[in-house]
Amino acid sequence: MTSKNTAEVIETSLKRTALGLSLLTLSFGMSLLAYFSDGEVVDNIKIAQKVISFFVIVIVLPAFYNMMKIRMGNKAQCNDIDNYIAETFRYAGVFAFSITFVALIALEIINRNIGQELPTIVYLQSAKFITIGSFTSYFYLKLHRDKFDEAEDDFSDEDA
Amino acid sequence: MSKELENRIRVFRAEHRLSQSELAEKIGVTRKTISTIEVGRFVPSTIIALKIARFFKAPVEEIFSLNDDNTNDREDN
Repeated sequence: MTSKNTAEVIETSLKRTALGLSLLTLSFGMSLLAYFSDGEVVDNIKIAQKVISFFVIVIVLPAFYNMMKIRMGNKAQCNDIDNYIAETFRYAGVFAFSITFVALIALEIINRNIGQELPTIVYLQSAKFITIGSFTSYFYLKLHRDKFDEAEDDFSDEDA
Repeated sequence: MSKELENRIRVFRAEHRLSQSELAEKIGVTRKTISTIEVGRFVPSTIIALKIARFFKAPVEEIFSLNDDNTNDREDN
């Protein structure tokens, strides 16, 4: 930790945040499932969501703490988020917004055509699920795809 | 976008016998950032480009350049 530079701490924090968000996607998806289920299934979903919430806090809290520490203690480098992961994070946000917008329009059309009014809570849960889900999907797919471009060239070990 | 920008970071690293991690440490970015700049996946900010140039004690244009097609387009205009 002490050997990490600011950029690495920020990158690790962003990765932890993304991991927390992917768990939240699971939780929001379960909420949606709970609406269409009943009885024991709903109870189990609630227990699973509590476990997920615990893990989200454990994963995201250190990331949040590290980011705040950098921002408070190193004001001159507050804008030091100029790295590849941060850019991927921003693109994921734009992608998630677009997908959510299209999905909400689609939901509205489907709702109109089935002739049955879905409750507001279903829209809200769907929007949260789609937003966070598309965000994390984009983030991890892009990182996974780009991993194949990498090649560490350790010239320092070669003889002159 | 990134296909228009070429860079010679790998060449400069080889000359200075530096790994991506070492260069990243020197200019305060992550290894991932350096590796994605090298392969043209990530277009660095002006600040990163200037930091790299300053570290290698070379002009920015010597490390980063627009590819020939685009240069010709600009000269034609």
